[in-house]
Amino acid sequence: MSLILDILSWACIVVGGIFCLLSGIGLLRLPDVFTRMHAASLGDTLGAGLVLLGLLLQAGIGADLVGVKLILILVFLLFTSPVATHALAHAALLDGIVPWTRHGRPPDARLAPEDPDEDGFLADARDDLEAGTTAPRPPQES
Amino acid sequence: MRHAISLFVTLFVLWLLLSGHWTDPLLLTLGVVSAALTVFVAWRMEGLDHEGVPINVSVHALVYWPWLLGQIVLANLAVARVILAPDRMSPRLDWIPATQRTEVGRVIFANSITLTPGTISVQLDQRRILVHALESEGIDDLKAGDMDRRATWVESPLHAEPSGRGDGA
Repeated sequence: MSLILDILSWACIVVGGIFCLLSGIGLLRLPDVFTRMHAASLGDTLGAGLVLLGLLLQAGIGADLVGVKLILILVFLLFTSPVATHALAHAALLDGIVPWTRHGRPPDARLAPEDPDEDGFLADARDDLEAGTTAPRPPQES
Repeated sequence: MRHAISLFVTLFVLWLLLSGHWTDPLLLTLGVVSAALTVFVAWRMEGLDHEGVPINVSVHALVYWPWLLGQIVLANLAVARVILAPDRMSPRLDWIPATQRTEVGRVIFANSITLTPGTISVQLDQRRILVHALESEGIDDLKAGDMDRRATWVESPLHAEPSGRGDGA
C-alpha cells in the first residue's frame, strides 16, 4: 500500500516538475509579454497543483493536519494567481504594449475607454502616461 | 443573520483545521471568541451581505470547481503542446460576451478564464470581457459560451436548475 502511494506521489511530483520546466522553457521561447504570461500560468496551475498533490500523498492528512494546510495553499494559490495575471495583462495593454500576432498586424480589439469618473486610479495612470512621467502628481490645491 | 452564521461556521472550521486543537476547552473557547470577533468586525464594516459572504456561490462552487479543474488540465496540455511547438501558436485578442448579473459572478467568470492556461482576461466591461488567447481556438471556445453559462449558474440563487449541462454545449 505504501509502495503504491509512493509511486503515485512521485509520479505527481515528477509530472508537476515537468510542467514547471515547460513553463520556464515557454517563458524563454515565446515572443512577447502576453504569450509568456500564458506559459507562466502553466507552472501556477498544473505545476504547483501536481507537486502539492504529490506532497499530499506523501504526508496524508497527518496528526498535525499538514495535508489540510497543503490543500489550503493550493486553494489560495488558485484564488490569487489569476488576479495578479489579470492585473499584469491589463497594465501591459494600458501601457501601450501591442500584442504579438502571427500576421504581424496589431489585433483589432482594444481596451474599452474607462470612465475617468468611475476609476480615478486609471485616469491618473493615463494622465501620467501622457505627461511622460510616472511620478506621483503633486497634491491638488483646494 | 444567515450570512453571519455561515461566516462564523466557516471561520471556526478553518480555525479548527489550522490549529488542530480539538479537546482543550480554553483554546476552543478562544477560537470561538476570535471567530465571533471577526464576524462582528465584518458586520461593523458592512461586509455581511450577499457579496461578502456569498452562500449560494459557495455551494454552487462545489459543483463548478471539479469541472473547472478538468478544463485546467486540458488547457495545460494544449499550452504545453504550443510551448514545445511554437509554430502552432496563433495569439488573438478579442471581446467575448459575459452574461453574469452580479459582480461576484463576473469575477468568477474572469478568474476562471485567467486560471485556464491559454486564456487571460484583460478587461471587464458591463456585458463583455476582453480576452487574450494563446491559440485562436481559445477565443472560439469561450464565445461558444459553455464556461459563461456555468459561471452564470454559480451566481444564481440556490435550487436553480444546473445550466450549461446538456443544453447544446
